[in-house]
Amino acid sequence: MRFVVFSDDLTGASGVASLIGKGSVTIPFHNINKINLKDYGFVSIDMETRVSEPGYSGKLFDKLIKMFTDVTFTFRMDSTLKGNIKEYLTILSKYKKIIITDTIPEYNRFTKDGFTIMENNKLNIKKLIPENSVNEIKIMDSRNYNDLKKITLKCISENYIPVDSGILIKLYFEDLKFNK
Amino acid sequence: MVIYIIKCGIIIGTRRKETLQQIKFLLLNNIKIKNRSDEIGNIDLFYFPENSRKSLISPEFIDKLKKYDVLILSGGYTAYFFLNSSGFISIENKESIMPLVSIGVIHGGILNNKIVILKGGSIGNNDIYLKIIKTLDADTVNSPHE
Repeated sequence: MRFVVFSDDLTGASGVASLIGKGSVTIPFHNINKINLKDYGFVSIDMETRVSEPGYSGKLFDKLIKMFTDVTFTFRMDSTLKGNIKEYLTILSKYKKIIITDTIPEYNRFTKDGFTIMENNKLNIKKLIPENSVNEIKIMDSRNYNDLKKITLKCISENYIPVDSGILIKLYFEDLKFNK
Repeated sequence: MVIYIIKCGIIIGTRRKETLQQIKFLLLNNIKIKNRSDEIGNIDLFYFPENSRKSLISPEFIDKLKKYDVLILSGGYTAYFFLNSSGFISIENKESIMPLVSIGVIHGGILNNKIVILKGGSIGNNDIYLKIIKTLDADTVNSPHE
C-alpha cells in the first residue's frame, strides 16, 4: 500500500480508484479490516459520511488518518462540492499543505478564480476554505491536462498534497510512483 | 465468429433533472423499465425513486440481478444502499471507462465476482448509458481478475 484516498461516498471513492485501475481497491470504512489493504498500491476508502452531521465527519476522518500516517494520503472531494468539505480540509490541513483544483477536461469543467466553472453553472470553492487552517490551503486555476500536470509538479516539489475530484490525485500518484 | 452478448442491468435511484433526461433517452431507445418483470433482456432498466428504496435493497431484487453480466449503478446513495444490502466487502477496480465512471469487480456477498460500473448522478449527457454499454465487450466480463 503506497497511497490512501478518503472520499465521503462510494461512487466518488470508486471513481478515483478506477482512474488508477489495476492494483487499486475501493472499500467502505466499516470493511477495512476484512481484506489485506497491503495487497493494493492504491486504496480508496469510502468514509460513508456524505450525509453525516458536521462534527462526526471530521472526527471520523481524523481517526482514519491516524491509522494511515505511514503512507501518503489525501482527500477526494465531490465534483459538485457536496458534503462537509470544509471540515475535511480543516482536518487535512493539520497534516499537510494543500492545493485544491476542480477540473475535469473531458466534461468541460474547470477552475478559475476560486470557482468551479461548468456548463450553465459556477460553484464557489473559496467558501470551503477554513479560516483557521493549520497549514496553507491554496486554490489553483486549471483548465486542461497541461495545467493539472504543472500543479502535480508543484505538489511534488513544494510538498503540497492535492485535493480534487480525481484527476489531479491520479497524476500525483503516478508521479510519486515514478519517482520512488 | 462468436458474438458475445453482454446482459446489462442499469439501476437508477436518483431524481435529478439530468438523471430523468438520461432515463428518457433510454426509454426512447427501446430500453424498458423492468422493476415488475422477471423477463431478462440484453439491457434492462430498474428505476427506484426515493420512495421505493425498500424494493431496491430487497433480497429478491438483488438475487434477480445475478442473471446480468454487468450492473450499472447511478448515484451515490443507490450504489451505497444496494451494494451494502448485497453484503459486498470491496470493489477491485479496473481502468475507468471515462472520468468518474468507474468499473470494477465486486468482492463478497450475493453478487461476488460480478462486474459493476458506478456513475455519479450528475455525470454525463443524455446518452451516457449507451456510451458506457458500447465500451463493454466480452473481455470485460470474462477477465474480471486481470
